[in-house]
Amino acid sequence: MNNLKYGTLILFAFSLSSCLKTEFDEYTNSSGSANFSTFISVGDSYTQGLQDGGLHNEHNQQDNSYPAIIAKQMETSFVQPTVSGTGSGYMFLAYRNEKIVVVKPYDPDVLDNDAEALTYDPSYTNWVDKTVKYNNLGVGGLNVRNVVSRNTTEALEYHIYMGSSAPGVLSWNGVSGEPIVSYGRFLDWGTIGARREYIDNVISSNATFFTNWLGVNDAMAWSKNGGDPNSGAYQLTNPAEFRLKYDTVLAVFKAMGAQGVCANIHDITESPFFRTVTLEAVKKDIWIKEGADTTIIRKATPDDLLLLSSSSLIAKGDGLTQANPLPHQQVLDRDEVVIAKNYIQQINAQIYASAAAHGYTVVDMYAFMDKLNKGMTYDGVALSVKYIEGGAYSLDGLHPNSRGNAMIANELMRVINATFGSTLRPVAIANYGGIVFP
Amino acid sequence: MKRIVLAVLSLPMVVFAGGFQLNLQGIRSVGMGGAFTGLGSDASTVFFNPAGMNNLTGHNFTAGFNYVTPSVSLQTPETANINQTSPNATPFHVYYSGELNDRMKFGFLINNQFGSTSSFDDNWQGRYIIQNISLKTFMFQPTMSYKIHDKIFVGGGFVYTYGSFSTEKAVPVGSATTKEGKAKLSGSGDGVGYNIGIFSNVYSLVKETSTTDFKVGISYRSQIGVDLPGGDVEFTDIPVSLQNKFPAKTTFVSKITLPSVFTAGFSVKHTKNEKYSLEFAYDLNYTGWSSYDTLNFDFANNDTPDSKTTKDWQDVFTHRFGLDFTYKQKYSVRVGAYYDNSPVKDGFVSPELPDATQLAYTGGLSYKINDMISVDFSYIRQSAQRESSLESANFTAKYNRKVNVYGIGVNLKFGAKPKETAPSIN
Repeated sequence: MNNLKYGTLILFAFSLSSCLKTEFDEYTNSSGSANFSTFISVGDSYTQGLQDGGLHNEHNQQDNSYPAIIAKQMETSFVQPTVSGTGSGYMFLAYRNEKIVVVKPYDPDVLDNDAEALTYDPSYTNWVDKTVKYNNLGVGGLNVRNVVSRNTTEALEYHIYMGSSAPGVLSWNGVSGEPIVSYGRFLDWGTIGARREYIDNVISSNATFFTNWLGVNDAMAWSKNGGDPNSGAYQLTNPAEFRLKYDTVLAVFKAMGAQGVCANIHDITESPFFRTVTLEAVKKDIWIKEGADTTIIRKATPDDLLLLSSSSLIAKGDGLTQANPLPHQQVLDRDEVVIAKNYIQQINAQIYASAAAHGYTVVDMYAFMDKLNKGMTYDGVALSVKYIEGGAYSLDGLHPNSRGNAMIANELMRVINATFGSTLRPVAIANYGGIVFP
Repeated sequence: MKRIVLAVLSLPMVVFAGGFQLNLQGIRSVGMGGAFTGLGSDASTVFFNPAGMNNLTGHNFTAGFNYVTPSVSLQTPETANINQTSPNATPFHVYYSGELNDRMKFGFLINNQFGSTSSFDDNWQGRYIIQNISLKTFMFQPTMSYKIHDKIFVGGGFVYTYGSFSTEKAVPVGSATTKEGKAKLSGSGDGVGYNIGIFSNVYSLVKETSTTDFKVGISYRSQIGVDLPGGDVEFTDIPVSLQNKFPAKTTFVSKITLPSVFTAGFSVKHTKNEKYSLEFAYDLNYTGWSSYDTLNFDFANNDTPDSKTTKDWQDVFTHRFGLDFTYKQKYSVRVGAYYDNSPVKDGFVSPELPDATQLAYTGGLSYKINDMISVDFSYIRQSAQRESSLESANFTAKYNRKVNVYGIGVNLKFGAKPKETAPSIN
């Protein structure tokens, strides 16, 4: 019996000593050789946090801009010019007659707006306090050529008439020196007599760290308007000018001693905006008018990209006959696709050269977005380029949704860590919202 | 007895390596690293090796249960620590082996041979892969054993399995009012198989003050396909526009294949008079986990995308060693170890079952109260780490798992005739 007691005692002691602690220690984060204390992001609508064809925040869309996500992981303060209410107005999904429909934002220039279309919030016309120093300097519609003007002509063309996708009522008021594009109104643009440029807003930021994803709009504005260069806003920026002004931005960062990373330009022609209204999906012959400089009317081939915006025209019967082709602004025809793709390669070469000359690393967004467009999965969430269902792009088919922004943030942080020896933790994609279904 | 069994039936089980096989089928065996196929010294041989029933005389009952307390933590690149919230589990077993005549034995078993329960906080990072999962199986096996020759026995049983399965995971669709949906699947079904074995008391070395017995056994438990013919599916918190795809209620058809297990084992027992005995046992299992290649759910609703998961598990060997020291045929102390190869390949490690190749240690005690009744205690200590991914979901984690298993069992024996000398064979 003693043996039994003894044995039991041993067994008991053994199992007590082998406690069941399996918890992992909390991560200790370090910034490595980087200084994240004043972090700013420069860029266009992709950086500003625009989704669904507008700037809005009712489900934290703007709060989840990729730079804001990065800043959270850096544990540094990050002030964004956050809109309220419906923001600038945006697209949303409605469920009607057992069908999911996309409701476009209210457009004052057309007569057939959807009854439920969302217009800009009244607060949007004075949505900002210009005395605040914002960390997110992303401005929807900003091209590299707009960051600084070399002469008065450029100032008028690029600065005052910066590409506008905002409602007319929000345009230039002729007094305060604001640019036409309402997305930039939160910055201090000075007065007409004493202009402040975008670059001046960058200089006054005194950044210690930056991300720079300028350049997307230089390729996108032209492409998403069917390759129409007639309006000044929709040009492909001249590559030499692109390089010169990209250099200016990096020289400014270098002069203030800021560290950071640049991102190159992804192939926007592979976005859902260009890949949803396919002949396969329409199941009809579609007649198109070729680009602005030709009058050729022909049947669309699979190499012609019908824009997402053309779907409502096709629904109304446009493009179904030779007599009534789709207008050229609704098609990026096969020659224009080649132009856009080549242009992106061209300006990416300039970005790499400029970054190398100033000692900055480039994040290969081109490769990353290519991977996403081919289909990616994170933590059991499958994402693809498919419009709405794909789950990474927002309803405008160009800008990523919050989930897509989280992925982009992770990719940038991965490169920041590799470059500066920091340990920024990636975020869990699952915790960011995708499409809001009705 | 009945009431105890029923209470036990309602409790979940926990996975603790070996795929989702519960190698807890006898308290004495557990104490010896899980070896028993070449031992056959109590009624649990109905499970380990049906032929071993011919070692037993009279009526033998063995019943026991284990208390499994797992602790599993994960670390992902995004999250420093995630704890599984899996409950403790109590798989049980009941065995009977009785004598029809000198050559024929009859027995049966009821036990839980396979099972697993894993749960996580509903809003954890991997909720689109799994929130919780539970598989329970109950086996019933009527068994016969036949003495072909004094030294060679064969046995076999028919296995009836009842299984129940349930799982929940989040569905990544949200609306203005719902963050995400949820899918809940639950179903049950049954399947049949068999369990056969051969046992031999190869050789006994009898000396004046001691005997040494060599025994070997081979057993084969067949694969069992448990059909889940009409499971219920519930989708909740689904946006209105997607309810055709994810309806509030539909049904599913699935099948879970439980693997075959081939085991070869031997034991050597050295008995010194009435004073003490020392016994060594070894088992080699070969578990046919490659039968678990996919897990598919076909939904009755046409618009619901069927779920197909590639598991691609592999057949694995497990080595089991045990040592039993018994003093005056009354007090026993056991130690053992087993080396468990994980059937789960790298790239297929899912958070619901973070299986790892590991060496685990076991111990046990027995006390023989009298010729009729004895009690057994056992203990297993597992500690395993693994870092791997589930490539299909693009989920990577480090896993840290520690498990204590406490077992208790009782053996009853009665009606044994005094041993006759075996008839000589001319």
